[in-house]
Amino acid sequence: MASVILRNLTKSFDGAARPALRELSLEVRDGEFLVLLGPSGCGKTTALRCIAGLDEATEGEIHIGERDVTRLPPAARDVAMVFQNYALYPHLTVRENIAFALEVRRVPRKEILRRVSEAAQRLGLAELLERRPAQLSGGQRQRVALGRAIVRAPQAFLFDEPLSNLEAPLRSELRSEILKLHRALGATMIYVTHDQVEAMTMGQRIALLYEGRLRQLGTPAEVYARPADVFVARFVGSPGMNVLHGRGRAVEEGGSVVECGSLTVPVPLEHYEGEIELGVRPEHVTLGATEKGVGNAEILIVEPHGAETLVHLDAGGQTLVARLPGLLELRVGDRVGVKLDKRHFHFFDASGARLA
Amino acid sequence: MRTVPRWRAAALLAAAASALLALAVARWAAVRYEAAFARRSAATTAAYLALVTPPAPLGADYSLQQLFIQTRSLDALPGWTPSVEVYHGTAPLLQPGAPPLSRLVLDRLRGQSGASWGRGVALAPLFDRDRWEVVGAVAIRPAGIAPGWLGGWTLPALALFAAAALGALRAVGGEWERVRRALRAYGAAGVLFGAAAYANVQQAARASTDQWLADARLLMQESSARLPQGRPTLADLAPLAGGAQVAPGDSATTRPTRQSVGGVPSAVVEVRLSSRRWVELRTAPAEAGAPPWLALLLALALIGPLAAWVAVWVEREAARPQRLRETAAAWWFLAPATLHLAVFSFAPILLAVYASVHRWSLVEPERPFVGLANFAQLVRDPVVWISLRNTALYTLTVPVTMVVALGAALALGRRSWAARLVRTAVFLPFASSVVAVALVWQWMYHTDFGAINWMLSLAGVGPVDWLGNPNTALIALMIVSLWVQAGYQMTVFLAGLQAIPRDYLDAARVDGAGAWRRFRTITLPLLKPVTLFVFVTGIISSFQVFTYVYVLTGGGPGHATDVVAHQLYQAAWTFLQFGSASALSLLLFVVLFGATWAQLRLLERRVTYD
Amino acid sequence: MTKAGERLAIGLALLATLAMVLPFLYMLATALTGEWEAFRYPPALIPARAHLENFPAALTALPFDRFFLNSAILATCVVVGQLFTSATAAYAFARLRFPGRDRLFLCFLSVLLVPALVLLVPRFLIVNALGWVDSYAGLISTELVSVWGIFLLRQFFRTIPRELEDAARLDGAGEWTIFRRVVLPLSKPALATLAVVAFVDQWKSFLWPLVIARSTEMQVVEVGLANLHGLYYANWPYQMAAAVTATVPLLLLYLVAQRYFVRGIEMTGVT
Ligand SMILES: Nc1ncnc2c1ncn2[C@@H]1O[C@H](COP(=O)(O)OP(=O)(O)OP(=O)(O)O)[C@@H](O)[C@H]1O
Ligand SMILES: [Mg+2]
Repeated sequence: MASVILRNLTKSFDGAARPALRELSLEVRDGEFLVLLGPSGCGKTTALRCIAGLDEATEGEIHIGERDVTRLPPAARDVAMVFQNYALYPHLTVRENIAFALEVRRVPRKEILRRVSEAAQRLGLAELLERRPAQLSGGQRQRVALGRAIVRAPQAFLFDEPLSNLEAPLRSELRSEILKLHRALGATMIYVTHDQVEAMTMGQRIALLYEGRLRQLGTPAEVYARPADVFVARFVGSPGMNVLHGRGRAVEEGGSVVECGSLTVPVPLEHYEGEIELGVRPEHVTLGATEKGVGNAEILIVEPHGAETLVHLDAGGQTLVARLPGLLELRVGDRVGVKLDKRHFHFFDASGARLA
Repeated sequence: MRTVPRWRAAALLAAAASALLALAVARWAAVRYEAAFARRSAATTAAYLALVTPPAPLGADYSLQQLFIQTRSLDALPGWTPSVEVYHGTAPLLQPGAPPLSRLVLDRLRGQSGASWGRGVALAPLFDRDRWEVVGAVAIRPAGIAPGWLGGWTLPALALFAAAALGALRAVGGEWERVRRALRAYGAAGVLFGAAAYANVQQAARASTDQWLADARLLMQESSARLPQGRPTLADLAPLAGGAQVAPGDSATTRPTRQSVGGVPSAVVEVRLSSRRWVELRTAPAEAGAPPWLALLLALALIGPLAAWVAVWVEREAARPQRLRETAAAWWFLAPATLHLAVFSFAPILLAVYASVHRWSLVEPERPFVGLANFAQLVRDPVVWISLRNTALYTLTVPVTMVVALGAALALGRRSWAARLVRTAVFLPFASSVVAVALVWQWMYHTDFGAINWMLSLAGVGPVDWLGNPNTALIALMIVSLWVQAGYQMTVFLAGLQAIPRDYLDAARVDGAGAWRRFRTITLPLLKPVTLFVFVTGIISSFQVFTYVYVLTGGGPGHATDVVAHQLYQAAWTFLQFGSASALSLLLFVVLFGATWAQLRLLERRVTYD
Repeated sequence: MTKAGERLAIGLALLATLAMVLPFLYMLATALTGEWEAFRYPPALIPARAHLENFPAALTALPFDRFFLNSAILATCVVVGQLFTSATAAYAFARLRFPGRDRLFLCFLSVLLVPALVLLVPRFLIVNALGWVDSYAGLISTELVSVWGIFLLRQFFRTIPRELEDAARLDGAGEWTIFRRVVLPLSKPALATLAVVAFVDQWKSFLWPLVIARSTEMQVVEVGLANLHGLYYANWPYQMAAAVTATVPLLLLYLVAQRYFVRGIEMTGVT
């Protein structure tokens, strides 16, 4: 097991206009479960492939454990990767699939047998060893892929959206299985996903990537509670944070107000003047009678979820979402008063960076 | 990167090696021509001495005194350049103090017919009057044939080459645009240098022919002056000419010139034997055989630039070892196919071009350069035109077959077992032996006992001599071709039809379009690439038809079924004229180029769209 | 379709089948006829007695056993050679990244620009210079690479998911191992197609063996058949017996491997 350290990793593909990764610096601790999270096309796969050595870094360094592996071929890096589409060898049986890496590395027969059956035991594949990938269900296939990875006992595991081809129930089952593996092996794992539920529930820390840049690195709680910028704020949480665009204005009695659309929000900022982004999570928005609260808004959409109801509002051109407990009787088109919980405000400057 | 200096040093070494090798090879080639001149000249001189020296009173040997006089007078000949020594037995005549010839050398001269070369001297045996016994030797030390190591333009070219090499190596690792410019200049300097070195070789080759012609001319004229009237006869002069031709000539220039004699470039000089007697001395010009040296010298001179290019590339890629590894792996994988294509596909094309401008027969050792004579001969040959016309007519089978095949494909596209059976049957001819098919058709075409004429007779049509009648022979071949190709084309069309989405046709059906309309407006346009492919490949392959012609008609009757491939086969393997067969190949290439180009474009589209 | 139209279609199909199959039946019938019986008018499709002795007689008139051996050697060696050279080159083109790859591939494709007939004479000169005329080396060497095969396999290899190779790479496999143990096993259908097409092409090839094989021992079946035609010009039963024998291996291969045959043709024209 080993730590994985990226230093100023930049990757430009030949012929691409923008680099897929820009100066990515990241330290994954020994034995950590780190989730790489970001929207589609942000460079998650590219980062993983660079770590694995499948793509060559244009600039920067990659260290695994004590070694600088930047210029080493994939085989010499001693990492295992699990792919979204499983990438099982279709012409080999499950047993041969799992044994392939050991065979290529000329591990003695007996040793191979022992390690394959051990991996199969651990993943509940013992019955399936003689089948071919085509005769397996999606979940079983991904288990085989996991087996192929753990049988090598690599320095680090890389997962590239391993569950996104699976149905929801299977997904949560495999999620806990991967976490169990992580605990049992104590291995360093880097897990790529664009699904934030996965990220929040699995990651010890989350690295948020956007347009090839690292936006925030922290525990799920940190990322949720103190998003580093507007992008992170909007991306994390479902639905994401409401970010209202407005102008700050100092008022006589101290503090400031932010005017955004039809809302005028008093904020605990000293004499703020100018453009500002005001963030507030949907659960911190409540509705009341008109003229109560910070302003009025029109109801656009009502999404009853059972335990809660999501209400999409239009406040003078600014849309925001409120998450309200229980099933509510609300009519689209009605005007309501909006209340915001000022203890949970987030402020970002015009460029999107967090204020204070 | 630490690797840069190492690669740069290697490239520098390569530059030096490249220059030295090119110079050495050029020098070596020039000396070879010099030696060729000296050997020829020695033989001619020996023949001259044998002709003009009066015999000794007894036996066939020469009078020593006369031999001495004749030899001495050679130096007095105006225009005579080489330095000569004659040995009588082993004793030198002109410089009595010089070391004698070793017996061994003389014995070796006895054993061989021509002259030998060693240590800058050519030695030719001196035969006695009866041309039987070797009584001595003539030694020739040539002068002024081969340019020096750095003669001609070599020195400035070398300086340029060195400067470009240093410039390129200095640029390594620098800004890419500059590196590229420097490399390009280096390459150009390499080409120039190679060309300059070749110029020396070419000059030596030319000089060796010219000098020999001039010397031989002098000796012939001198012999005519020394011999009584009416001599020397042409037969007398033949030994002086060695392998060259002596023909009656007329007065013209007395300097060696280049002329085309019967389509073959020759080096010619006029020899005046007496006031009204001229003969012409003709020989193959040595420089006609020089071009291969150009290829070699250019290759050698380009080693340097190539090495620099590799150095630049490796230096650039050193930062990406992965890519370097992948490139190396790729070349291992590509090596077998690439080498094979180089030897058996690309080299043959160059060789065809080369052979087409030479008279090249497997049985004659000489392969003189003939310019475009082979092509001229082809164009003038009516049979070539007939074969071209027949081939063009034969390709008319392609559209006809296509109509039949497309019809079959449309009718048999269904999934029923009957359709499958018929498809299998239609494909059978293409899947079977070509010669077997040709034979059974020949049997069916038999005038008296063939099945076809029998069937025709049922319809009241008289017996047709299918393959013996010039009017029907080609058509008979075309029918066979149609019969064979229909199955193949049908299969391609079927695949094309299957690739058309059913939705289109169903939509049209819903719109109320009839079968014919659906075919015209949907199937046919969507089938266009496939149709084009079938057409183009059909044309290309039917232009090369050979087996049916060879087996069924042999090109006859008359030349009624003679096609290009058959002409080519005959030119090469019946008449052994590989030069003109190559010319015909190239002609075919040109004729077919449009079609093959279209084929490549079709392929290219599939490459880029996948 | 209307009833009448259907009948017409069936009739035409029957006619087509007949036209395609009859010559083969005629070949077989004549092969079983006595030498003089063949010259009978009107011709009979069914001989009075099956003259099976025509076969041994025709096949020993020239050493056809040797010819078959030669054809088999030629076709087999070429198949093996083409599979190897095409697969390796195609792998490099489909999967490895190296500078100048696409240009080199176009350069390979440009060989298709040169009709085979154009290469005939200069290839012969080269083989002659190598001293390989009238030898297996001469017969086989020029055919060992097929640009079409490279093209076909390259297209196929590109359909194999890249992740498989990436997975193998991480598993510690080198390029050769990936090629041997992942790509080749997954390409069996394409390899089989290439093999069948190459085999049939070589079995049917005529002109090159005609000019390369000088001695009788080096002839292939097709050329041997043509020579038999020259020697026994008037003996049609002999010729037909030999023709039947020459065709049978190909027809058997066709019936067994029809799928690959057809796919090979489809791949040339469509895909
Ligand atoms: N081989 C390639 N050549 C050129 N550009 C590439 C290549 N691979 C990826 N890219 C580009 O790099 C960027 C990042 O791609 P990447 O696959 O890493 O995204 P991702 O975060 O994994 O997205 P997804 O969630 O959709 O898998 C994208 O803009 C993509 O277009
Ligand atoms: Mg991805």
